[in-house]
Amino acid sequence: MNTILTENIGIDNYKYNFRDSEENYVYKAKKGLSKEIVEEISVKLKKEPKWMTEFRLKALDIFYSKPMPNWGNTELLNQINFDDIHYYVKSTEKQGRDWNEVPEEIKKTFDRLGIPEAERKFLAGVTAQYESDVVYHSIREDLEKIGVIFTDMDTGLREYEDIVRKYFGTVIPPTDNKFAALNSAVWSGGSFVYVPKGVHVEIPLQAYFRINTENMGQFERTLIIAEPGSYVHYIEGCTAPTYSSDSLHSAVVELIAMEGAKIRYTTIQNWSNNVYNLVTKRAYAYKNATVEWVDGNLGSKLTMKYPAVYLLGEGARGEILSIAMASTNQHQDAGAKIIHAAPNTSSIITSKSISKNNGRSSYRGLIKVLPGATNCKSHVVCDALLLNTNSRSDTYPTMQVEEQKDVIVEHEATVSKVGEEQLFYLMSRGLSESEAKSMIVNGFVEPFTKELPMEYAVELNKLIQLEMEGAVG
Amino acid sequence: MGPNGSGKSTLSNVIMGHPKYKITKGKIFFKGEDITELSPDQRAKKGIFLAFQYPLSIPGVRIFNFLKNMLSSIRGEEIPVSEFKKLLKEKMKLLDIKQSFIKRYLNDGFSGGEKKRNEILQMALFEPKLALLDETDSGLDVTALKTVCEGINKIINNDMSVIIITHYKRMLEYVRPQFVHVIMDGKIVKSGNEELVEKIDSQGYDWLKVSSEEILTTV
Amino acid sequence: MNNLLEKEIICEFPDWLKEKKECALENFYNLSNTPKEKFRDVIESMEFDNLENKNDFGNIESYWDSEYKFVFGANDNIEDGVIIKSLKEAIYENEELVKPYLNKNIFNSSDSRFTFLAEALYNDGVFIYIPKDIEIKLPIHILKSIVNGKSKNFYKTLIVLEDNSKLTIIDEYKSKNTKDFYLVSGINDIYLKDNAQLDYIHLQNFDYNAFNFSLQRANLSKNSKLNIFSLSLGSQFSYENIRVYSNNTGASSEILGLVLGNKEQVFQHETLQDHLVGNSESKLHFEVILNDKAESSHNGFVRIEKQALQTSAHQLIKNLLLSRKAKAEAIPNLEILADDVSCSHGVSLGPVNTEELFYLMSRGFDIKQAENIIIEGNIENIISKIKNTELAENLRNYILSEIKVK
Repeated sequence: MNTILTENIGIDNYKYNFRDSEENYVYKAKKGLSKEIVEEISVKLKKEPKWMTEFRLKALDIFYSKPMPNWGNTELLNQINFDDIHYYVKSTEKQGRDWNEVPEEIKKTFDRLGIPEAERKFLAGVTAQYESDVVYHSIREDLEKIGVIFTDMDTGLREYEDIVRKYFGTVIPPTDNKFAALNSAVWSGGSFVYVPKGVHVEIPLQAYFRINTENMGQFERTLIIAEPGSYVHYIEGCTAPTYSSDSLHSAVVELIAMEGAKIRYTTIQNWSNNVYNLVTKRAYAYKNATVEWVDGNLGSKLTMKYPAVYLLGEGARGEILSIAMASTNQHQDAGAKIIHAAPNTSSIITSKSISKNNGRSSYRGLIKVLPGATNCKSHVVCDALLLNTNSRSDTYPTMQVEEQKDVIVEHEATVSKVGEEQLFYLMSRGLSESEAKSMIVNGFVEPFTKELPMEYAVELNKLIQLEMEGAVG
Repeated sequence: MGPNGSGKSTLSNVIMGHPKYKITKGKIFFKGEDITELSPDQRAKKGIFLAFQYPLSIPGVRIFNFLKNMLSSIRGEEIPVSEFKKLLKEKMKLLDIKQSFIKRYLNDGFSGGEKKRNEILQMALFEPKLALLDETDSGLDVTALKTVCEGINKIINNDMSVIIITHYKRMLEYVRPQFVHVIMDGKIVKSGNEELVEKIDSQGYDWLKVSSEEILTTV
Repeated sequence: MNNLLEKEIICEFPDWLKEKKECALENFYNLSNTPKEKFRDVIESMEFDNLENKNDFGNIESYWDSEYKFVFGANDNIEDGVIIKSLKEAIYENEELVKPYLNKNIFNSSDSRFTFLAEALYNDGVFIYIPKDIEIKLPIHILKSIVNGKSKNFYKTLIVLEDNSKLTIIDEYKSKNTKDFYLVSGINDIYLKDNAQLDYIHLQNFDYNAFNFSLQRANLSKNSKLNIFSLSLGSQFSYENIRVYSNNTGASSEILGLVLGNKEQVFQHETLQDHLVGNSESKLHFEVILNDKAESSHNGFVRIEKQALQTSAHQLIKNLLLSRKAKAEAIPNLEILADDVSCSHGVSLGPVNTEELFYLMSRGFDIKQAENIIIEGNIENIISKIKNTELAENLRNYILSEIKVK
């Protein structure tokens, strides 16, 4: 059965709902988690250095010892059956640098997702991860020549062990939370990016993550190091087919922006709505560095993700722009965290959420100003749009200020429905109700889409339109 | 014309089909067709256009996209970008509107004059069969009023009916009416020509009140 | 702890209440073993267990404000059917009136364990009952003052306003030169029936020996209106929980709060605006002003239930930090389960606005004066929202003279 299932069927017109055959897979770990599985992944399959194996095993102990979070959507969290997950699935032996080297069936998948085409048009490098491992990887030669490293995390560990060992797990240690511990124990794939001093990577690097297997756990691990004065924009996208039983995606993403460096990290998450998406993302920003998280959550069953920026050096800036769209049976528990740990630091958080058809979206955020962090500014705006009854919107922000000198922390939030007057105005100009609604929703998320590369913005607008057609009538 | 609260804006909203108003009695016919049950967008497609007294701001929606979508919808087919650009340019030139205008968000942070001019630009593209101008002169200074009115005059043609709702003579000096109706307490109490405007301008509406009661008693 | 004394207190109540009190006591002990309190360190540093259950309110007084015509217990000059008396007396003498309310169980996960302790161990308090269609013009002033210290003190106040009645209550908490620290914990239960209207002024002005825990719980029926003004001025540690349940259409509430802290005072506020049905509205506005090493934490909840369409609920918490050692935390939460609503919250934390300071100083004020003008402006933001101008004027004078002493 080498055929791809019909497109555009299934729940909510989810267009990525096609699945591939697993016939030619190289390895699929049996379900469940144990010391043996971790050792098998690390020692036997990946042939990792000893320190990494030890790191994994220690993390596994931490995972076992930590309780499940007692906040957020505990009802859904407690439905996760850790024994019913494949922790490692390898689809192919090879990793291509040319799409022709990628197994035909997997290549077809990424073709359908438009990755090779996008790569030709506007990307500086691409990583494509299928199940647990990266199957395709490329970087423009000119970048490689000036020392930019963009590779998958496993290769990174093999070829740049010194750099990896120095930074891996320093921003998000396994002790941070239960799912960071799980990722640390069983991680596979993800990206390793290193941008040398002063280098500006003007066009984005892109990673694409795809889960195909049912009951799969994908645990990619990404580490981005931007040396002083450098710039990089990294984009990731994620999809999976819809299955009747759930998959788990639990990534750890660590960013380090050295003095004067700038990192922008864009995510368009569109997992099918049987994927648990429990991700830890955190950045360290040193003196005058800037870190921007642009985070779009459209898919998944439950997302719990709060990208963080620790402003550790004077003059550092953090910006988090997030949209969440929660539809039928979805809970988007997304947000942002900023820690002001140095003077003259500033942060902006903009959160936009849309709930419809019994979907629930929550903003959960933290702004903390530590003693000594004088002259800090933080501004948070959360807007929520409710499209019909039965949908739900929550806002759970925390603001802690322990320094007074020239510190301003402001937060505002509004929750509303699509205004009757706005609708009437647009309809009086001849738009149908669903056209009018999707126009208003697109306007609502405009501050987000305008930050995306054009191709993504167009795609996102189309997605919203598709969602809206289902929402009216 | 008519004093505050006499039902002028209500009339235009009802013709456009605002959901806030429920029609309890009577029907609305447009070009011989009963449009009472039609939704606002259907009425728009029939050629009815309302220039709002207080145009709403819709943050995040760019004017260019808005106008293009509006026009495609009215015409019932996607209008090619190049064609639309040409058309828009022409209309903007006609109304003396700066190019930078279309990059902004719809009425977001607009001055009163800009909002009203935006309404007239929409009307120009729309090419309505019936245009309802609801106090288009309110909130405009003399210069802005002149520009807006000149624009209106350029758009108006023989295939178009225009209903102007206003309190004052000044707009009607630029856009000359063929008929003048005075509405009070939801009823037309007096009809005439431009002379009626002069009389209202010098004497107000009080002299009509008596006759209004007379009408009620005689009905 | 002296368990015998606890039993003695509970024993004095009728069986139906005894049961409730015993249950509350059990809750207190259970919660004491779970480390969920925010300021547990501060609280644990005090050895409350060694204090005696004294109910040290030498004098809970209740009188008509300004004219002092009415002294607690003496029922002259009251309209027919109005009851203002000791809660304990009411439990025996007006059982049919108080029982439906005292029998209710409306605890919440945000409740302090000391609220349960108050429920278990209150020996007395005040019962105020205003019958249908009666409007009382003069405010009733309840004064609870602690005399000695080194004591645990519990109270419960039950306020019931029947249909179309109207009342103003000034609920003042004071202490006079106490020698040692003390614990105060109490519950004020408010029930407003259809079209009833209550202005409830809560003035917490204990001295620095106080560890204060108080809960204001209000239930609003159809078209009733509640205005709360809550002043947090005194105590070393003060926990205040304000919960307003809009149970029927047309209910409206306004919660105004002023928190003025200095030294090492710690203030903890938990607020809830819960809308169970539609067409109701609530507004919350707190101004928090902190000097020295004072600390404040405000956890505010707005909850709109599924069927509560056309609800408006707003929350505004402003924190002014006057010293570098002062700390503030604000957690304004929204849980919205209905779509046709208008909800918002706003929070700000920071020092005095430098532009404003500069402007005032350019007009000849020194920095201290300028700061004071701005502080008084912040206080005025709240006071000016009180619609009863005479009451507002009295409160303004009271607060300004109290902060001078502070």
